Amino acid sequence: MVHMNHQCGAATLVISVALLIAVTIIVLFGANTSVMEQRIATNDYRGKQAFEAAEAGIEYAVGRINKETFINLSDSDNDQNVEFACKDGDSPADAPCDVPPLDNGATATVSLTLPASSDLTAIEINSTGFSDDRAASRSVSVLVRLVPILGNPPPAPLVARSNVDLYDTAKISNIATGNAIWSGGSMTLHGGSVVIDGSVNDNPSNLSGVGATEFFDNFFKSTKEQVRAQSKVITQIDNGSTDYSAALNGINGRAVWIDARDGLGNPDAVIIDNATMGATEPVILIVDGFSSLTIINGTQINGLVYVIGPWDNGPNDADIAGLVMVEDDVALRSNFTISYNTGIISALDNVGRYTKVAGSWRDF
Amino acid sequence: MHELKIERMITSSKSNVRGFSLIEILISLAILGFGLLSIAKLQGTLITGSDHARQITEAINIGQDKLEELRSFFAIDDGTGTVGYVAIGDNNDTVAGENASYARAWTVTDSPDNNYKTINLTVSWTDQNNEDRTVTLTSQVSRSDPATSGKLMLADGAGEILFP
Repeated sequence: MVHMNHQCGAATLVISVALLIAVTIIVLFGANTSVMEQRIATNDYRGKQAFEAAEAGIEYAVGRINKETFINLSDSDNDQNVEFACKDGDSPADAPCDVPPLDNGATATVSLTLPASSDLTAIEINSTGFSDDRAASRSVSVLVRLVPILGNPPPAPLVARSNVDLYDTAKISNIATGNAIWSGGSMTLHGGSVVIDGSVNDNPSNLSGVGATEFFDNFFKSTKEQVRAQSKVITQIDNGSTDYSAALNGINGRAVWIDARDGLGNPDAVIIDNATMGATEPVILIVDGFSSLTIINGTQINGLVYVIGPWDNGPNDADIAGLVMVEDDVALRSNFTISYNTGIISALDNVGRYTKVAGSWRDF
Repeated sequence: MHELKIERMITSSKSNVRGFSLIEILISLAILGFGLLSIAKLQGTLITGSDHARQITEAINIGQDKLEELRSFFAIDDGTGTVGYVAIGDNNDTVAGENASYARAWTVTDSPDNNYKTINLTVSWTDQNNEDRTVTLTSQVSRSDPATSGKLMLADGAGEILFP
């Protein structure tokens, strides 16, 4: 009591503390705004990370199903969820597929569903992306449809833009629909042992004089450049006589484009020896830029063989079930067999690429 | 005698009080000074903080712009006047922002079977405190030809040449 009476500085102290408190409160209110701003910014960052991860999931799935093609997608349990192998070596499963983690730590899970039951030509891809700390997530979906490479399959197993020459015991047969050969030039039989099951149509007014590009475009849905871009392209292995069968053997359900030219345009002699292609799902094999093409005995191809340029197979035989189209003259010898097969030709519709349907992208 | 004692006491206490008051003012000033100083420091941090927040947002937007730009291609292969999927590759550039300059660098890695590319994009800048800041966005682009989307709208093949 005595001390309180003996001082006169308390007022200064109280006022300064009060001032300090007032300033602190003002600053703390300001701090709140700033902290909020930072929170918004980092949330925005996370949100965008998650969104980009979701987009990555969509693109991963589109790339994945186009790599695997039609045959590795199935809905055997009929629940409208597509079973597919998420990564190489995985077994096909319904379960959402975890996309390999992205470099910034963001992740995405993808699932494929069918809008219409048991129709695998249209698939909805749903992707959910997560930020690196999994605090934010975004979902994106898109519809993809299968675009077949071959738009308009010809009704005959052997179609040539120019002359057809058949030797020895070559066999062209179509017991399903009756047309065996369609040739823009003339068909010549050398020797009497050639077997032709079905009708022959040579020198028809509408195929004679048709240009190579027009010929290609008539049967394929896209131009040569586009078909090439949609195919697995095998470039020249070397510029001698090369056996391409190691690169071709066992391929199913997709289009393969052999470009036998080197970078300077020099062609390679392409040999396909003892290869089996399309055993479970037919293939489309397009051979381009070769000096000579030889398909040798033991080779079995189910699907379509399209040869850009003239083709003389020499004294070799092979077995092709489906279609053969040649953009120029063709000569087949020995026991070369081409047979029309309705099942294989209708399954060729499944050889193509899934493409995003314009306007189907949704982020909800 | 008694009065004198009181008077002496008053004078001595008066002189004592004067001295204490100066010390108390000094103490209050010190407290106020320290307080204001630290609050000023906090205020500075907050300003840098909101500046940084703004820069993050700006950097992320700039980064996303580039990602979306890389996503848009016209064909698989390059053509005259068009950008193809094959051209998506590593590069970098600088974008001037509101109060910082942002360096964008993106690296592109092709998947083992070439069916998609992974784009790793980093936006980096130097903030007000001379510290290097970065944000990273990663996404993927699949090798799908935009022309095939158009094909969906068309009927099957040209098919003008019919089997006689």
